Amino acid sequence: MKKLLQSLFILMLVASAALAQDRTVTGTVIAKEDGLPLPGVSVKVKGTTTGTQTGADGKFSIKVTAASPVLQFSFIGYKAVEAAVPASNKVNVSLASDSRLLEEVTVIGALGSKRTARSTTNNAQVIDEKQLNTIRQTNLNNALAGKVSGIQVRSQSAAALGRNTEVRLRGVSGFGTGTSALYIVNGTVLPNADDINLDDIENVSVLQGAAAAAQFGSQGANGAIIITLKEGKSNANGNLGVTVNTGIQFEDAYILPNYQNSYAGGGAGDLMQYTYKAGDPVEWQALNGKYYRDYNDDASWGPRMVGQEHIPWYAWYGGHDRAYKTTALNPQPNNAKDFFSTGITRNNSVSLSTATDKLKFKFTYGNQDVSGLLYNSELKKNNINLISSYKLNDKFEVSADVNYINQIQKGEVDDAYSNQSTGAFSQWFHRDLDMGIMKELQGLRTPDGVYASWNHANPTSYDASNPRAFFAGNYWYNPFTYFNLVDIQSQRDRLYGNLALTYKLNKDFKITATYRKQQNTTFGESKYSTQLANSALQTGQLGSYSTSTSFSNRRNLEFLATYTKKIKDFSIEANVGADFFRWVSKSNSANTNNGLSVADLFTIANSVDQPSVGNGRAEEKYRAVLAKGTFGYKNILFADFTLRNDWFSTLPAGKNGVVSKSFGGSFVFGEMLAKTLPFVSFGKVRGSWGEIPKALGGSNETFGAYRYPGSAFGVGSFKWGSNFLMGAADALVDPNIRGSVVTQGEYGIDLGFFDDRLGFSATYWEGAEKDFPYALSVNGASGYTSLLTNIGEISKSGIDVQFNAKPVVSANFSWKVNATWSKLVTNDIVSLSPQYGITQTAGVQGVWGSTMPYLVHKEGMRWGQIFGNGIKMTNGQPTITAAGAYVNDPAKYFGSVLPDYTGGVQNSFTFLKNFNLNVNIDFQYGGKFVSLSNQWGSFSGLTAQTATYNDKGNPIRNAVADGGGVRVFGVNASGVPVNYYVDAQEYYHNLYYNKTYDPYIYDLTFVKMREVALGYNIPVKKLGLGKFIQNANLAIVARNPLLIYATTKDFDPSEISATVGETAQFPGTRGFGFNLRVGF
Amino acid sequence: MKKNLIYVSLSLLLLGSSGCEKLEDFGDTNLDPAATTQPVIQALLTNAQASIGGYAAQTRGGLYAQYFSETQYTDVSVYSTPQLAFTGEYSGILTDLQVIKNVNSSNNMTQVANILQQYVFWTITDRWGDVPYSEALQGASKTTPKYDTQESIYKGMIASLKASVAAFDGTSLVKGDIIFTGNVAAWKRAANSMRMLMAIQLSKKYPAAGGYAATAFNEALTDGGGYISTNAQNMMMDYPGGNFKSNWWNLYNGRKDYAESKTMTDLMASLGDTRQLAFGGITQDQTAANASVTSNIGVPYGVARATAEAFTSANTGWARILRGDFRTESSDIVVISAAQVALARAEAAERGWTSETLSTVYNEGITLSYAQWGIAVPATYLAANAVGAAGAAGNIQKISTQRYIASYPDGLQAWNIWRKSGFPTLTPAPNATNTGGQIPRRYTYSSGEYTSNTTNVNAAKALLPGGLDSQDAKIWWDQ
Repeated sequence: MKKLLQSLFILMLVASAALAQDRTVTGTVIAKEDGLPLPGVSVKVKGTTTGTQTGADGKFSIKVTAASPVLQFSFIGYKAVEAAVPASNKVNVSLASDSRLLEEVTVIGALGSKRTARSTTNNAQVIDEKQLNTIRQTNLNNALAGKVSGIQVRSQSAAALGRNTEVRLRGVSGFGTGTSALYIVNGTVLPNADDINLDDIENVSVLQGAAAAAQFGSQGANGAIIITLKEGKSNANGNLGVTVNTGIQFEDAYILPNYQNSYAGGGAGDLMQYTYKAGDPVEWQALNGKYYRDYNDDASWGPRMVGQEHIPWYAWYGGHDRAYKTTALNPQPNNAKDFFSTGITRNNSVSLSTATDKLKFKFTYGNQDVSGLLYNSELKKNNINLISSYKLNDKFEVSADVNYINQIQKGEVDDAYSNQSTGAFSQWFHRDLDMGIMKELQGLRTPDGVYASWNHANPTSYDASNPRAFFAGNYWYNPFTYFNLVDIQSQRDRLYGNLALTYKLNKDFKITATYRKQQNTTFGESKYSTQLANSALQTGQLGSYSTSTSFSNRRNLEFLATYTKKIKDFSIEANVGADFFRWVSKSNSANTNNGLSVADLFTIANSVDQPSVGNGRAEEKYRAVLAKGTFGYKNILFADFTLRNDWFSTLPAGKNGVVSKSFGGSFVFGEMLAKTLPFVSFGKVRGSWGEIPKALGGSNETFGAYRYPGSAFGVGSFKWGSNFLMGAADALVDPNIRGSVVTQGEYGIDLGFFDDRLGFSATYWEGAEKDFPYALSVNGASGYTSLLTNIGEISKSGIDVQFNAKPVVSANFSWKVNATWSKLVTNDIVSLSPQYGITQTAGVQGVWGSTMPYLVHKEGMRWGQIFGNGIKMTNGQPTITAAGAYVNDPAKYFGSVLPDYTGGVQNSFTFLKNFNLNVNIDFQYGGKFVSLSNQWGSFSGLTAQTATYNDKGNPIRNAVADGGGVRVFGVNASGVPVNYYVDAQEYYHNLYYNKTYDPYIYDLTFVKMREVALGYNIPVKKLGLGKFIQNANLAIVARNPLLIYATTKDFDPSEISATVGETAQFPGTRGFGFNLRVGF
Repeated sequence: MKKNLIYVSLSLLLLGSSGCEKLEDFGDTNLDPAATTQPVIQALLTNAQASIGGYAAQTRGGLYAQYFSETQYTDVSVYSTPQLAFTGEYSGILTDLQVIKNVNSSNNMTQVANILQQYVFWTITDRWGDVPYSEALQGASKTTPKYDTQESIYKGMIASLKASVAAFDGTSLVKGDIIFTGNVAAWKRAANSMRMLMAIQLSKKYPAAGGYAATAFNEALTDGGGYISTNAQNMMMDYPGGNFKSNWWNLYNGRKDYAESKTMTDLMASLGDTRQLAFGGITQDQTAANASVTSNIGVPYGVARATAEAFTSANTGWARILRGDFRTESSDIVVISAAQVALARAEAAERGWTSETLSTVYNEGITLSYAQWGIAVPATYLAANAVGAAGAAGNIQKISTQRYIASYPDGLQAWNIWRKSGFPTLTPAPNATNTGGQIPRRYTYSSGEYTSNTTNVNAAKALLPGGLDSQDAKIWWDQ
C-alpha cells in the first residue's frame, strides 16, 4: 500500500504542477536509522498544493513562491517532518520510522475488497517485503517461519525438490492430517505457496480465525495467507525503473541420523574366508584365501572394522582398476552425507516498473534454476508477472494481473521406506561403503550387462551357469547407477490472475467486475530403464513407463460494489458483492504393467501386460453473495461485520446454502492518552467473532465433488477373460450430510511505547469446530468401512503475542528486534461420534501401516495422537519377559503431533552506514513424531545406538556370555523389578517382532537459526555509477545455518516429512549464498 | 450512457441477491461421471471370485503349519504377534457377494454368492475364532455387529450351505462365474464338499458317530447333488495370466521371501513321497533354463534372520514353493480338491461316522492327490503308508498326515488339520520370539476392533481361554 499511496501522491502532484514559482529549494532526505537516502518521499510546500518527490538518491528540488516557506516531508512508514526553508535554499532532513503508520497498510480481501489495518478488529499481522525476503527464500512458507505469531511452518528438506511445505494457522482442524492455510494472491486463490515469486510480493498478511476469514467462506475456514503483489511505480527520475535481482545459494546435507561407525555390513559377525572353487572366474584366484564380509545381507551386523584386510564388494567385478584387490576394512562415517551433491539454486529476476497518471505497469521475469542435492535432480522455473492498470477516464479503470509460471522438475524425489537413497542409507546399508568409490563405479557392468552393486551375493553361491545371480544386487543398486537409470519428469504450467473493470459512480461509490482464473496444466512421465530389472534380484525395478496429464481450471466471476463515505465523525466502508465459481478438472494417465516388451522403449503400448489407464473428471461450483462493512467513529472506534451466503453444488440439493458471518469492534485509544501517559504512543483493544460453514472438501482445492450421494459402483480396469469386474462401494453416505461449522472469537490489545520504540500485541482466541463431514471409520464387518456423516467437535484456544523493539537507533548503529510467540492452549477433541459410539478415529496416517504407532484422533485428548503398539507398563515400569524382551501394549498413546508453542525472533542490525545484518531464529516446543528410519536403522544395525557400550564397559554387540549385550531394565508380569542382558541384535529385532516401539518416538522441539543475511549497500554514487545505477545491495546469506537445539539429533524436526513422522527422511540441509540487487 | 452503465453493473450485481432459486440450482453438476449407482451383479461375482484363490494361497497359515519357511525376514515363523484385521474381507469380497444376494435378480447367482460367502466366513473363523457373522454385512443399520461364537458360525455355515444346495433352480442363469462357468451341479458339489470339510473340523467337539458333526457330514455325503470326487470337479481358480496372475507367481515376482520348509521336505523324504517333485522348485526365475526343476532342499524353519540368510546363501538351489511349472502366471490354484474330500471321508470312516470303507477312500484320496499333480503313485507307496482297520492306532496320524500333504500348498487347511489333530508332529520355531514359544493357534483381533467395535470384541475376548486375546488361545474347535 505504501507504493500505492506514493503513486497517488505522484498523480496529485502532476495535476498541480503548473503554478508560477520564485526560488528553487534542494536537499536530501535520509532515513534516521541507517542514514541511507530515502527515495519517493513526498515534499510539499505547506499551505499550498505544490509538491514533489525525492529521487532514488533521496534528493529533491522544488520551486517555492512564498516568503517564508515551510516544507512538509512525509513518507509512509515514517514520521512526517516540517522544515523551514533557510536562505541557503538547502534543506536536509532525516526521517524517523514510525511503525504506527504501518497501520495504513491495506489488505486485499475477498472479491478484491480492501481495508486498512488500523480499523481491523482482529490481530492483523503484516509482513513486509523486507522482513519476508531476508535471504530471498524461494519458498514463501519457509520465509514466514517465526515471523508471524500463531503459525507453525512445516518445512521440507531442500533435497525434496518441489515438495509442498505447509503452514498451520492457530492449530489444526478436522479429523485428517490437517489442512494447510489458503493462499490468496491479489484476490485469487492458490492451493499452496508453490507458484508465488517472492520478488513480486509487496506484503503478506495472515488472516487467522473465522472472524478474519469469514469473507472467504468455506475455503477460508483454516485461515488465509493474503499476498499483495507489488504494483507499477516509476523510479525516482520518473522513468521506467528496472530492478535486477540475482542470487546463488549452495546447499549441503547437514543433519542425518547418527550412524554407528564400528561394525561393517552383513548379517554375520565374522569375516569369511574365500576359497577358490572350480567354475569361479579365474581372476578370483587372486582373492583365494582372503577374507570377505557378508555382502548379501543389507544390514550392518557385520565384523568390527579395525582396518583389517578384506575383499571389498567391487573387487569381484572385473573391468576396473580396483578389481581383484583387497583393501582395509574401515568405517566410512560420511558415506550417506557424501552421496548428496551440493544443491545449487540460481535465482534471477528482472523487473520493469513505471507509473503515469493513467497507467501503472509492472512486469517481472523471474527464473529459478535448481540443481538438487539428490543425484540427477533439477528444477527449472520461469515466472512472469504482469500487473497493469489503466484509467480510461476518471470513471473507468481497467486492470490486469497475470501470473504465468512454468516449472519443469526432474529426478526421483522419494523419501518413502526403501527408496534408493535415504531408504538405503538410514535403513538398510553397510557402514563400510565408500561413497566416492561408489560414484566412481556407477557405470561398472559385467559382460552380461549387469550393473555392479554393493549388495551382491556371497562368493560361495557363485554358479557359472547363472553369474547374474551373483553379480546383480540382492535388494539394492549402486545408488548412483539407479539414479542414472531412472528418468522422471514433471511439468507444470500455471496461469492465474484477474481482469477487472472498475466504474466509479462518484467519489464514494464504485463498482468492480472481476474475472479470475487459476489454470493449471501438468504433464508427467517416468521412465525406468529395463537395465534395472536385469541388475537386481529381488526388489528390482522392472522397466516401466508412465505418463499423465491434467488440466484444472478454476474461475470466478465477481461483482463488488463499494461505498466509502465520511459524514462528520462517522465513516463507512461498505461492500456488497457476488461470486460465481466453477472448477473443472480433467486428467488422463497410463502406465505399463509388468515390464516393457522391447527393452528401454518407453511407450504405453510397449507394456508386457495390459497397461493401466485412468481418467479423472470433476466439476464443482459455488455461488456466493457477500456483504461486509466497517463503521468508524472519529477514527478511534470501529465496528465491522461480514455476511456471506454460499450455495455449493457439492451439497445435497435443497440444503446447499450456508451462511458465514463475523462481527467485531475495536477502540484505538492511544492518542487519547498522549497527555496523561506520554510514554504510550499507541493503544488499541479489539474483539471479533466469526463463524464459517465448510463445504464437504477435505483440502483447499475441493469442495467435495461426488462425496454426496456416494455409494457408486466403479468398473475395474481389467477384464478376467471376457468378464468385467465391479466392486461395491466401501463407503456409506448419510443422506443428511452437510458442511462443518467453524467458529472463532478473539480479543486482543496492541500497544506502542516511547514513540513506538517498543511495541507489544497480544491476542487470546478461542473457537470450536463442529460437525465435520467425516468418513467415519465403521467396523468393516458391517460390510462398509466408512460412513460419511457429520461428527465431532474440536475446541481450540490460544495466545498469540508479537513484540517489537528498537533498542538502539543511531546513525551508525541501530538494532531492531521482532519477536513472536504463540501458545496453543487447547486443540482438543471434545467429541467424535456419540451417535455411533465412536471415541477414536481409525488410523489417519502411519509410517508403517498400523504396526508402528500411527495417527488417530481421540475423544478427550489433544488433536493428533500417536497411538498404537508400545511397551506395556506395569507400575510405571516397562514389562519384560524372562528373555528380556519388552511385552507389547497394543493401545498406547504417545502424545500429540502438535507443538505446544511456536515462535521466532528476528534481529536486524544496521551498522557502518552501509551494512545490515539480519538473524532470524524460530522455535517450537512440544509435539511428537514417529521415526521409521530409526526403527529399521536399528533393526539393521546402522544407528549409533546399536554400537554403544553397556554398563560393564563392553560393546553391546559382544556376546552376552562375554559381558556384552544390552542391559534391559523393567519389571516382570507381577511387577517385580528385573533386568537382563540381551544380545544386541536380538534386542533390536525384538523391538520390531514384539511391536514395542517406544524408543522410536521423538520430540518435535527445536530452536533453529533459519536465516542470516549480511547485506552491504554499495555506495554507487561514491563509485561514480550513480548515472546508471540508483542503488545496489550485495548480501551474503545463509539458510538453516544452525540447528541450535533439538531433542533428536537424527533429524531436523522442522522438516519432518509427514504429520505423523518420517519414513526415510531426507537430510536437513544448510545453505550459503550471495545475492545482488541492482536498481536502475 | 452513464446511467445505462450503472444499470448494467447493478443488474449484474443483483444477479446474486435476487434469483435465489437459480443460485442454488446446480443441475447435474454433482453427478459423478465415473461411477454408476446400478450394480451389475455378474461383474460383482467376477470381482469377488477373482480373490478366492488368495484364500487357498495364504503364506501365514502355511508358515504356522510349517509347509513353508521364511528366507530372510523371519517374523511370521518366529511368531511375531499376528495382530491382523479381518474387516477388509467383510467390506470387500463379502459385501460384493452380499449385494448380489440383496439384488437377488437370479436365484442361482444368489446361491452361488451365498456359497462363496460361507467359504470366506469359514476361512475367517478358522483364523480368528469368534467373529461377526449373523449381524455382519448389514450396513448402516448394524455398524457394530456382534461377534458370534465359532460354534454358531459353523452351524450357521453348514445350514446355509445345505439351504443353498436345496434352493438351486433349473433355470436362472449364473453369469460372470469364473470358477465353474455357471455350472450349477458343480456348485452343489462344491457346497457339499465344504459341508464335509467343515463337519470333519469339528471332530474334537462332536466326536460321536451320531453327533452333530457326523450327522452334518453324512447329510452332505449323501446329498443328491454329490461332492467333488474327481480332479476334474475340483473347485479351483484358473488364472488367465496378464493382469490376473496366480498368487504363487506373484509371490516370487522379484522377491524370494518364502521357501518350502525343511520340515516339509523331511516329511516327504521320510514317507518316500514323490509329490515332492511338484512341491519344491529350484528357482523363482520363470525364464531360467531350470525353471521346471525340482528342489528338495527345504529351508530350516523358524530360525533367526541371519541363519536363514546364511542357509539360502550357501544353498542357492533351496526349494521355492512349488516347482516352476506349477507357478506360472496362469497356473491353477486349487481351492477344494477331490483328494481333500476323499481323505476327509477317510477320517469320517475312521471315526465311525460313515460306513464307507476306510482303506478304499484313504487310498482313493492319496491317488487323487498324486493325480492332481500329475505324478504317478509309486508302486510301494500305498502299502508303505497304509492305514490299519478302522480304529487302529496311528490311523488318525496317517490320515491327518495325508490330508496335510494333500492340502499343499493351502496353508490354512494344513494349519487347521494340525491344530485339530496335532499331526504331523511339529516342533515350534527354535527362535520363537513369543512368550510361550509355541506355534500360534489363532490370529489376534486387530487394534481397530477395539476402537471400532469395542463392546463386541471385548465380549468375544472374554470368551477366549483365560480371557486373553492371544495367539496362544485355542479357538472353539481346537479346544
